[in-house]
Amino acid sequence: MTGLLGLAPVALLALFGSPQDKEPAQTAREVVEHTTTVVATTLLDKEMASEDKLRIVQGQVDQAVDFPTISKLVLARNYKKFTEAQREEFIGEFRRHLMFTYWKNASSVKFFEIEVKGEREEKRGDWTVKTLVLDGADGLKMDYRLRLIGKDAQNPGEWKIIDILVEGVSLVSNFRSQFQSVVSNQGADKLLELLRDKNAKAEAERTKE
Amino acid sequence: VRKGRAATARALALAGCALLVAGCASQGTGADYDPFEPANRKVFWFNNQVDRFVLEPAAKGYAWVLPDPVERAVSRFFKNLRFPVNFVNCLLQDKGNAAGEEAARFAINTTVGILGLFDPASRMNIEPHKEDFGQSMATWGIEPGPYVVIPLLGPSNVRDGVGIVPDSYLAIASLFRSFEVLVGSYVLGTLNARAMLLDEVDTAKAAALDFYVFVRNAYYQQRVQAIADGEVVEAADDEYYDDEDLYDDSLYDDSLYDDEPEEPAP
Repeated sequence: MTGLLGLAPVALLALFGSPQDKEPAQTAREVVEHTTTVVATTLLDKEMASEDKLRIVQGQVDQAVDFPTISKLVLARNYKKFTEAQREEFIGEFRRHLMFTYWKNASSVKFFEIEVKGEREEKRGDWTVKTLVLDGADGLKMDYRLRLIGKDAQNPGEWKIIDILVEGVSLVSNFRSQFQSVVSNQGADKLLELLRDKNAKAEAERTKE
Repeated sequence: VRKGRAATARALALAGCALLVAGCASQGTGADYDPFEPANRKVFWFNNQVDRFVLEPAAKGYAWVLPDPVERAVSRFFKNLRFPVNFVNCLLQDKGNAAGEEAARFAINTTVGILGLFDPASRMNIEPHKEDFGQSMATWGIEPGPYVVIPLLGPSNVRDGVGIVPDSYLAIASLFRSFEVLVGSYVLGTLNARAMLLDEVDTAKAAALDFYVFVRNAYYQQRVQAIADGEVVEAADDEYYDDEDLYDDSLYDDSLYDDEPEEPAP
């Protein structure tokens, strides 16, 4: 009971606190620490069924990653060439594509540990959290770039992942180059078609297993 | 006398390389600067076929026979042999401390680490410094120039491709004049490196919508990082993180994409 009462001031603050003073519920570092910890424990759980693992990991990723912003950044000026419907479809298909590819890779790993190695502020208020994935060998550098999304007069906003850099190679930059090449050579429709085909193939392969 | 002549020839070749690079690399930059794209794609296709039908199957067999720790030891052995390349290029880039660390690493890993099969130096916090002549030229202000795919060697650019020549003279393997030893060590090194990347290449191919552009962009970004030596660098194209700039057409160079349209994928 006292425990619940102890929460009362927090609840009151949440109701009446002035929004300008409010900090996001989690810092950028905490978002990365929390998400990577839950994903790692889930993946390494020997008891859990594969379908359950996928569901939990997807939930974590959807919570932490801002797919609409990533989609804007990877499409860059091609974003303009897309109709509203195409944009919506793109966000969905690109999310599916990233999930499938990395799920296939991550779910086969038997052992790894993730250490947060540091963090730094970027231009435009973005925040980079540096991690090292230890798998018994040299380790893999994975940096996450986060942005405070949804901050306004009422809301403190939330830190969301907008890019992942593997050994310094930015996923956003890499996909942007690819999409730019496809769209300028073959058009926006072709890009969506390629994504749809890839995803259908990956889905078929996954359910076959 | 013959040695002296050879040295002069090498110096001249080096100077020639530098001139060639300076000439070629004077214009154009960026991850997508690829004026030779049609030719590059053909070489890329060729390399990919060699990988699919020769290298990857061989690497799979190799990985099946040898346990991972052995693969890692072989990889460390070859890394250790790169010492002269790293050392000289550290000096060329005016990094005295790094050159010293490289020398210490070589001394420790060759002896205590049994010919470089192990890496006790890293455990003593003596960090490796992988430097090459392409990076040295970059620190002298030479631009990378157009992207180039080299047959059998893979992604590069004019500057880094030229850099391979002096580096190959420096590698310890070149001390062995026997052709068989040279070829043998090259084959083993390549096979081992490929065996350690089986899953990564599979993932990359699955993730990419255009594998050629995937590799081109990844190569560019990796070189930017290598040249900066892990110092904080602006992301390769930092301005693109800006939502407001996203629609600024002046940031984009259309001429990069004006080459003949590709064949639609089958």
